Amino acid sequence: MKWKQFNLIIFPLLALIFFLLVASANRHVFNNEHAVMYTYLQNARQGHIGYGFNSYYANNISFAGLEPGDLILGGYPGCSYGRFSHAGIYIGNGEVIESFGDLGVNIQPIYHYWEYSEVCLLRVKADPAVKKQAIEYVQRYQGAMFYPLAFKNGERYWNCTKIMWKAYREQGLEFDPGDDFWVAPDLFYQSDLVEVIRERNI
Amino acid sequence: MQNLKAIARLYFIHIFAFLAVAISTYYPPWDIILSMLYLLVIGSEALSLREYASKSRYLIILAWQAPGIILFLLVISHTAIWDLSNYAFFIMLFWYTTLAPLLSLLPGMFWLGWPLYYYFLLALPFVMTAYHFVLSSRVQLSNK
Repeated sequence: MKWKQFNLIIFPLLALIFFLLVASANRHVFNNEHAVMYTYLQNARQGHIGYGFNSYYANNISFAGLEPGDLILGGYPGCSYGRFSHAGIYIGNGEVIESFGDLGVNIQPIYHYWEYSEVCLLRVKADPAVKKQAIEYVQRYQGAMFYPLAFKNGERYWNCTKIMWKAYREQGLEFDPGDDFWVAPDLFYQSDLVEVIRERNI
Repeated sequence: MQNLKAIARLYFIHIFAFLAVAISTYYPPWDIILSMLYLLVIGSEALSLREYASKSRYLIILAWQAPGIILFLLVISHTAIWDLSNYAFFIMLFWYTTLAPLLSLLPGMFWLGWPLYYYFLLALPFVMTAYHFVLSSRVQLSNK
């Protein structure tokens, strides 16, 4: 085979091989109608793409009583992956650690969650020592790369939910018993491992 | 026609490499191997353009990297219309998925508030332009 033909064939072939490998190892995801990819496709068909209509919605939720290890979810109208589009883990002193497109895994003031139209504060039902270890896990990856389609495997790519999911999974808490490719923020809200501290919907 | 064919080849390779690399991130470190293979394939495409006129080569490289350059301009201009600046960076992450595995190897350091990969991603349209340009240039050997 000449190299010019090789150049054109190699990546379609590799894409097919890797797709078949991933699909055969994850049939349960393709058979799960609640899988993130199906939620995304259903919402995309209704014109909801990406994280929705970004603006400052001033939800003014109170962060009083938050403890390190608590989870914060935020969402805009028209979000394609559910009610919430973003998530972070509270680390104390008014700061949250999260993963975002151009900032990677980084620390932000918690008050930026006031910009969302949907916001929810969750308490993880776990010992404070477990939460401390989860925070320490996340902090180890500061500056690591954000990638929207970060699969759960590996520790080189992160999105906002993968870092939280992995941090608690390392401590024995599984937020995704369905073993999906990705973890939607809504899954944390629906989990039996948390209780809602408070939420607001503008 | 020859130029269009060369541009079409680069886009064809890029789009399927995007798919292959994106899926291969499920099986690290295969994504890194595929990313390096992408550089080799693009390099061999560039070498095949050595006989082309300079003007044609510039046109091909510019057409190939145009999406990256436009996204770069949207990001650095902080375009507020329709939240384009934010989305532009997301789209840029997708567009350069082919090289994301190499960016993911960078140390997790911040400089002026941004992680290292932010700067490297923004530089990619120009790095890839230079890479293609150098390899597609004819080397002039003098016999002095």
